[in-house]
Amino acid sequence: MTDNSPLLGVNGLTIRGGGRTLVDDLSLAIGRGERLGLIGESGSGKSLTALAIAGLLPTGLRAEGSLKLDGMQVIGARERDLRSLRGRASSTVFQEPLTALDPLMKLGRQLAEPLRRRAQRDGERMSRDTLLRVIHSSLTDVALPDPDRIANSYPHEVSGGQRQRVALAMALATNPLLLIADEPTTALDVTVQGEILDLLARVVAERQMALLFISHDLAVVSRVVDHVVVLKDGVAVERGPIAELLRSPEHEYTRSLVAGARAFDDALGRIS
Amino acid sequence: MSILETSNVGFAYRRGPAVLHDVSFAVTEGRNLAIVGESGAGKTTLLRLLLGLASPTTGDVTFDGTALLRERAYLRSFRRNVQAVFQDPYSSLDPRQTVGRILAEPLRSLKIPGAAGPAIAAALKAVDLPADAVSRYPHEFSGGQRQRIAIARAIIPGPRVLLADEPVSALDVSTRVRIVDLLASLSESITVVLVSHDLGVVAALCQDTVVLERGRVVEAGATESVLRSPASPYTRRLLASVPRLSAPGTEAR
Repeated sequence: MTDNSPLLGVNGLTIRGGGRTLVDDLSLAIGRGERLGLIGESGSGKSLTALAIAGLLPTGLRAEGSLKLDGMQVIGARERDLRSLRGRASSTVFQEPLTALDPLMKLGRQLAEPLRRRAQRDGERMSRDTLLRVIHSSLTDVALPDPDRIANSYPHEVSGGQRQRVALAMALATNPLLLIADEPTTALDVTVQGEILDLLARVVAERQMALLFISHDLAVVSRVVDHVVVLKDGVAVERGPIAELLRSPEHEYTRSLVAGARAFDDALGRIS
Repeated sequence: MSILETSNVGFAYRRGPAVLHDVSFAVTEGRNLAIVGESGAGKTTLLRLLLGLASPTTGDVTFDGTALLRERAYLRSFRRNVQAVFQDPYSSLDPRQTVGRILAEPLRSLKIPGAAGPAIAAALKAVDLPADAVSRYPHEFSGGQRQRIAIARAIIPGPRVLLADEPVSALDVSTRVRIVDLLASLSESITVVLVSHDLGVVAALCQDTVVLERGRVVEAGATESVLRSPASPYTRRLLASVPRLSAPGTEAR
């Protein structure tokens, strides 16, 4: 790996399935510590792109092109090699923490798994006491009150916002170079959404992690990232700094997205 | 004049704690009202009470000045006047029925006299769907179009009140605007009661707002004054949490 190659380099990524092209010739790059937003509506292929980066495309879907993460080609890689890449190079936070977490396992035990994996990877031996301490501090890092109670709870016993914090702690546990957040706040209440976005921005900055933030919501994206790629029907139709895109969107689709977001923003702005 | 009104309404599910406490507000004819709150606020329970699907444990829900009755003939006439649209356009329409049959259903079940054909055609026109939609099935339509079908079904009995439970939160942003525009155009003849957590949509559609926090009304009044000078700390927190489109660094105003 040369120093000037990006952490994530996607070149001509095409995903096909069921006789249809779902992502078409997509290229993007994220350098170490950089943040990029991927914007699109339902069916745009944004979540498939995230799955492809993690090497988790469902069977029946085929990826072509090049997808290099930390110097390694993900497309066509063996599962064994991908496993060493996941966690170390990238982790993902999904939209719905209730489906991402195992309902039958206490949260502390779920969090212990990636923590143990990282220790193993780094050749550390982790005693039970150390593990408990690390679980405690990981939960504290994502601003969870009463971390011991949370660790001792099942997913259904804590709130949606708390579940998403635990899911974030699990994604951070392996200290990945790239955090992929796929609509991480869409299922949450507005007040909780704000807190999670602030938290996400803070931890990514503190750890100098790169971030791929996927969302349909321009206002949400603009809180966390500076640069965006707009995806429509699998095709990148526009890219650039988000401030510029909001000011003068060029593609017709981007214009309709911005107009849609503006309509409610203006309604609120006129009143409050 | 108020059409729907709750006075000192409390509600508890059987053997459960109270989920609504002393809720009082009135829906004024011609003024859309928003019920704003987050999960656990009691919005869904309140909606069930307003629809006559459940009775309050304490207090009253009144329609045109009289308390709702749990009686078939009364509920039929009440349903003609108060209809509902729900959040998920994918699960609220029967996938095995044509759109024509879906739209004919309320006419039949509410025993509304007259030919169904012209009423269905008029409802489709009102929601901006093509006339040939009658012979098609829900899966042939996009999310936004399905929500139009659900709205057509709700307006076909000629209601005076339309209860809309998060009607656009499952839709794409660009589709949201068009559905809110549609609801705004309908509200010339129908009063919309919107249940939503999205203050942008509330500001765009509703003249009045009630803010609900953990089963209690913490603020109520004209949307303009509620959002411009919120008295309750919770409303202020909600307002501050809305992600705005302004450049980074200025969103916390």
